[in-house]
Amino acid sequence: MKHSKKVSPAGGSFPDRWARWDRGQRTNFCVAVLAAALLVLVCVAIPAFRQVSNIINVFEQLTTLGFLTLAMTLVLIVGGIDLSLPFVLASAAVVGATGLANGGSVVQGCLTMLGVSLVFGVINGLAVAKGRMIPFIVTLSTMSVAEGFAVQYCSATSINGLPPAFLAIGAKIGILPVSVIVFLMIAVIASLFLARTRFGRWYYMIGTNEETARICGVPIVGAKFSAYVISSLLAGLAAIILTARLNAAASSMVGDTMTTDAISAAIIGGASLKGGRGGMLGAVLGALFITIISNVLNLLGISYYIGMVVKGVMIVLVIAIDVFRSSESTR
Amino acid sequence: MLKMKNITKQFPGVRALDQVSLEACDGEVLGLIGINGAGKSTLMNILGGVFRCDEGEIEIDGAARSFASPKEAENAGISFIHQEPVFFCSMTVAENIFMSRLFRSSIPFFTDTKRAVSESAKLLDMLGTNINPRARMEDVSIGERQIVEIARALAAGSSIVIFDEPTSSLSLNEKQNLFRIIGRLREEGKTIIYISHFLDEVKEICDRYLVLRDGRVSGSGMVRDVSQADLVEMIIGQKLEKVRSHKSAASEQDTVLKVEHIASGKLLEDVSFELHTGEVLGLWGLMGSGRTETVRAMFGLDRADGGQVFFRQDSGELQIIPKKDLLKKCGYVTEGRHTDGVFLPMPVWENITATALHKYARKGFLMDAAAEQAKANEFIDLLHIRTPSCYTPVEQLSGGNQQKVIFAKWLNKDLQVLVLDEPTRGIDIGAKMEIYRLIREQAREGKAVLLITSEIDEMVDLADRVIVLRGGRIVAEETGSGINDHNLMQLALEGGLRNA
Repeated sequence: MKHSKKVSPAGGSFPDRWARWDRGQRTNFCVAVLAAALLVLVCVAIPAFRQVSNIINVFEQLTTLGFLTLAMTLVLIVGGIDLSLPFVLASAAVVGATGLANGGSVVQGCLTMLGVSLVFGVINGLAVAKGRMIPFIVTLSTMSVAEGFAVQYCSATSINGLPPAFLAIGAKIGILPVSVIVFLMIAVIASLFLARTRFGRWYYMIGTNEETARICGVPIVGAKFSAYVISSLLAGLAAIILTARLNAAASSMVGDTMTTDAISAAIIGGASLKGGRGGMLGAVLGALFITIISNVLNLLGISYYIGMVVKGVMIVLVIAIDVFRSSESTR
Repeated sequence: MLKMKNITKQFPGVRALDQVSLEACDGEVLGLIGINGAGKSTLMNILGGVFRCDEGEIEIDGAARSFASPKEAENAGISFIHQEPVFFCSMTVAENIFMSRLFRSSIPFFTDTKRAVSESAKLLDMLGTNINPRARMEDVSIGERQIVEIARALAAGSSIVIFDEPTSSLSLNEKQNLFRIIGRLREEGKTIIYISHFLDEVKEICDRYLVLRDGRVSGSGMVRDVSQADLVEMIIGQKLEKVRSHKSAASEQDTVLKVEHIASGKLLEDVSFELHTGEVLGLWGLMGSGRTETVRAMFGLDRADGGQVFFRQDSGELQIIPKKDLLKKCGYVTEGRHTDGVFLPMPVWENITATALHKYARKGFLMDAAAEQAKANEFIDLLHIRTPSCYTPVEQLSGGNQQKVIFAKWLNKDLQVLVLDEPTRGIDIGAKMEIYRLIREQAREGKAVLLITSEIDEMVDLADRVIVLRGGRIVAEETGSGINDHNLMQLALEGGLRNA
C-alpha cells in the first residue's frame, strides 16, 4: 500500500499540510483562527471578559446554541434546514418541566423532553423525507406549531420548583459546569457519527447530489428522516440542560434570535445552505464565535435590539461567505 | 424567399459547415435532414442569430441580412419552434403568446389583457384549435404547447418558421394536428423549414428537401422526385464497411436480465429484450427514440406504465424483481456525468466507494476509511485514473477521468450487469479507448453489458447484439454482420420491416 493509513498524513511544512486538507479542514482551521483572534482581541480590549467567571459563563451559554448548531448543521448537510429547533426546545422544556414540578422523577422528566422533541422530529422528517415537501416551509410551520404549543401549554408563565436532583445537571464540578462536559461529549459522539458511520456518509452524499446518491443506492428517505429526528433529539437534549441550568422552563426561554444564531453559527462553521458541507467541529467553533459576540455585546452594554441589528448584518455577511465559497469551488 | 449562400462555419477543431447553400420559397415546406452532428442545428442557429457565419450570406426577399443576436433575427421575421418549448407555466396562454410585445392599456404601466386575449383567440382560431387563451399554460398539454408557440411566432409577424424535430414528444393525433397546421401556414405563404430525421414525416409534409452530411450538402431537390432509399444514401453516404474486430463470447442460455413489455408515458411502447452474460447488448436509435427512457423506466427512476423485469437469482432461475431493487443489482453509468454520475466536490476515494459502503462498514456501522482509500488507490492504478491523489475532489479531474471514477464505482460493487448510457460522451480519444477496452474486458469476464450510445462507430465496435429503437418501439434486432453503420443507420431512420 503506497498510502499511509491516516486520512490526512501529518508532517510537512504548513503550506504542504494546507494543500493536503480538504475544504472542511481548511474551513475549520480558518474559523478556529478567527475565533482565537476574536478571543484575544476581546480579552485585551474588555477586562470584564477575561474574568474566569465570565469565560465559564460564555461556555455555559455556548451549550444551548452549541446543541442547536450541531442539529442545524446535520440537517444543512443533507441539504435541508430546520427552523423549528429553538421552539422544539422550548416545547420539550415546558412539558418536561411541568412533569418535574408536579413530582415526576428526573428520568421521567428527561424522557418526556426527549419524547416531545422526538415527535416534532418525526413530523419534520416524514414531511421532508417521505412527503418530499420543502424543508424551509415545513419547518417554518412546525416552528409556528411548536411556539404556539409551548406558550399555550405553560400559559406564557415560567415553570419553577424543579427537584434538586434534576438541577444537578445544571451544577458544576469544581469550576467546570456539567452542561459543558455533556455538550462536549455529545459533540464528540456526533462528530464520530458524521465522519465515521455509513449514515454520516449518506448525509454528505445526499446533500452533495441527491440524484447521484439515488443511483448509488443510498436509502434517501430513511437517511433524511434520521437526520431530522436526530437533530430534534439534540434540541431535546438542549432542553434538558438549559432547563436545569436556568432552574426554570418557559416558552420564552430561547431568544428571538436563536434560529438565526444557529444558522449563522453553522454556516460560519463550514456548513452550506446548498447542502453537503460542514462538520461537527466547525459547528462547535461557529457556535463559540457567535456566543463570544453575543457576550461581548452584552458586556459592552449594547442594547438587545442593536444586537439584533448587528447579528442580522452578520448573517448577510455569512451568507455572502457561503455564496463566495461555492462559486469558488465551481472553478 | 430565403436564400443562404455558401455558408461556412469553423468551430475549434471541426468545420461544422462547409459552403452550404439553402433556398426556401414562400408557401413551401423545406425538409432539412441529417443525423446528429451533420450541421443542421449550426445552420439554423446562424439563421436564428445565435452564431455568426465565417463566410457566406443570408438573403431574405432579395435583401442581404445578417443577424447579431436572436432578437434581431426575430425582428426580421424568423421564428424557431423548439422541440420542447419553454413557457411561463403559471401565466395564461394569451400572456405567453404576447410575452415580448404586451399591449399597453390606456392607463399607464398597465397592460391590456383583454386585447391580448382577443388577439390570441384570433390566432388560435386561425390555427384551428380551441385552446382557451385564458387557460394557464401548465394546464395545456405538450402537443398544444407547441401550437401556442406557433401562435407566438405568428403574433411576432414571422414569415419564416423553423420547426426543430417537432414531433418527438407528440402523440399520433397531435402529430396529425401539427401537420394540418403546417399545411395552413404553407397556404398563408409562410416559408417553413422542417428539421427532422424521420423520413416518412419528410415524405408526408415537405415539398423540398436538403440533406446535410458532415457539414456539407449531400443532396437537395423536390421530395416527390426522390425515393426513401436515395434519401438514406444521402444521409449516411457510402462509408467503408467496418470490419468487426472481435467476436462475441455470449452464450444464449445465460439470460441474466429480462425486460418484458415496458411502457412509459407517451414515448415508450412495449419494449422487451433479454440480456445475456458475457455480451455487450447495444440499444441503438436516434435522439428521442427512447433509449435512455427505456433504461430509466426499467430502473423505476421514471414512471413506468406497466412491464416487468426478471433478474437471474443465484439459483440460476429468472425471477420478477421490483424495479427499485433492480438498481441494487446493476451498475448504471448515467448519461449526465455531473447531474447523476459523480459527487463533484467529494474526493475521488469517496466517489469510488459510494456504491459499496457496506463493504467497508465494520459491524455494519463504523466506516473503515483506510480500507476505502486503499481500494480507491487500487482502482486508480487499475483504470489509470489520472489524479494527484485519491483525496482530490472529483471536480478537479478531466471528463475522461471522472468517467473512469464512475466506472470504478460500479466495478467496485462487482455486479453481474452494467448499464452504460453514453459512456464516452465528451471525453478525449485516449480515455475513450481505455473505456472501450474496459467494456470488452467486462464482457469477457462474463458480465452482461447494456450499452447506449449516439456514436455509430462505438456501437459497431463494441456491441455483440444490437436492438434498434425508433419512436419508443423496438424495430429490429441485429447480430453479427448486421451490425454495420449503414444497416444500423438505415434501421434507425426508416424503421425495420420485421419486428423483433
